[in-house]
Amino acid sequence: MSNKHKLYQAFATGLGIELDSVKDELAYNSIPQWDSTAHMILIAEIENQFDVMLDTDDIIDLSSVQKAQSILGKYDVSFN
Amino acid sequence: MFFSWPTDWNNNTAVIEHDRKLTYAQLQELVEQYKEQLGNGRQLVLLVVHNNVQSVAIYLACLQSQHVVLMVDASLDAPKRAKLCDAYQPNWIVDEYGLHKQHAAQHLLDERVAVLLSTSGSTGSPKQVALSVENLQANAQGIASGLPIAQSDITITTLSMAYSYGLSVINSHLQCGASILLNEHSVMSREFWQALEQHKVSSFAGVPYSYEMLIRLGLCKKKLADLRYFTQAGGKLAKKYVQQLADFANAQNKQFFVMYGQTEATARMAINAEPEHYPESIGYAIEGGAFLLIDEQGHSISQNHIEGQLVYQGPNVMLGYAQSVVDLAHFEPASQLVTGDLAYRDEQGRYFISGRQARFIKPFGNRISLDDVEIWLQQQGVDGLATGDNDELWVGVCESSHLELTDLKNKLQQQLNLHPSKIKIFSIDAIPLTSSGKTDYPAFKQLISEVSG
Repeated sequence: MSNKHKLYQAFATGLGIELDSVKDELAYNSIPQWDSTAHMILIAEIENQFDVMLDTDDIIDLSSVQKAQSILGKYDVSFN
Repeated sequence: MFFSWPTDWNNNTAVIEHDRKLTYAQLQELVEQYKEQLGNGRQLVLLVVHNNVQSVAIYLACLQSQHVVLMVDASLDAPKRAKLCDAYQPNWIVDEYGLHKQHAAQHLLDERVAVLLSTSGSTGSPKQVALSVENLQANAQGIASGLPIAQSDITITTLSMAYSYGLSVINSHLQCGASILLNEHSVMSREFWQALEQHKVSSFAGVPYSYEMLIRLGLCKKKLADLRYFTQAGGKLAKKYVQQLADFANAQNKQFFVMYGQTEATARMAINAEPEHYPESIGYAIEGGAFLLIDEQGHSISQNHIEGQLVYQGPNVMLGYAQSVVDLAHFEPASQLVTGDLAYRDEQGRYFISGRQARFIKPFGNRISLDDVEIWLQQQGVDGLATGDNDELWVGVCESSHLELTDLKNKLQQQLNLHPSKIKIFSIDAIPLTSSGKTDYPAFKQLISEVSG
């Protein structure tokens, strides 16, 4: 499974939405499902999928699917 | 009263919203304007609650003019809000766009009723807890005497004011002439952490889930020089987290209070001021209140370490429940509140919650009534049952219902506004029954544990 697919899957599970509705532009608070409660579940899901431990600033900054990719880049997860 | 204050506080800062600061005198001016707009005669006001100056001022205007205010969290979606309006026929709806007069008919309202709060904010159930000014005042005082709230304090809101614990933070700080930073950002937003430092916040409150987030975000490694104390209520926080927070408080010379309450008691009943020694205790009843334990026959238990149903007595016990505007005409308040929790006490009189008899769960601090879930299932034509552990909902659906379980889960998720990871649906042959013909929940739980391994 590509990293991109893994990430999309993590968003679908973490936010409880269909895989089809996950896209790079999807942003925090833009859909009712992505609220602060779901955000922590999403973070746990992403950490599990990629076996990383995000630090405080990254958890707070992870405000879109696009942004998640650039943050994970710092943890040596590549999306190219 | 906490909603009308002495003139020597006139120059104290009462509320802060972003860069806007209002002193107690300025807040009162705003309250006067809203009182004028709402008019004479007792009005029923549905307030769509934000943590902002307008919501605080409308709330206070209602209290000062003896109107009745129904507090509705702003996150409640439009169809659910419309249902509440149908049930309560408010004279006014106040939302972020202003005050909207609905009708001038005078409802029959018990002279004591002042505030209506939901026990399960996110489901939009019409069931409300009716509270009097005496209830609110007693609880504001009880809390203010149990916590070290000082006039020079500034607290930050982390919970909705439509939620009893959130509202009690507002009331107890107004009672003391302290300042309230009205915040709507989640504890995991940058804005929240910046506000803590920028405004030199001296206290905050949180439910178990807020603290799980705060700990995950490294709260215990922060140096928050201005923070004096913090409180936790709204459900049982896991012992390991209570200990981490108590250690953090000790190491940095702060105080940590664990509290116990219910909306039916206008928010809070007990405070544990020593969580470092007794992380699983709820402490002692707040000033003005008292606990007792009763056995299955309803007799009071006098021995220590014997489990019984926890009963609370105090001036903050609600007037009663309401399901619609008709119920607001008259209340016959009970003298005590049967909490639905099981508890025991130790030799020093501290109380410990040991279980729950009442049928509800509390995922992310939101109370969800399992009986309401079963009623909802029935309305959907589903033969099933609902139970759960503290923060997960377990639903059993009879195969004869011929249902697509994923569909049901989606609907349930919307209805309850609950994350799907907290809903588990199981297909069962039939609803297990006890010999007396009642739903056998333990048997269902047994079944689930076998299936889930």
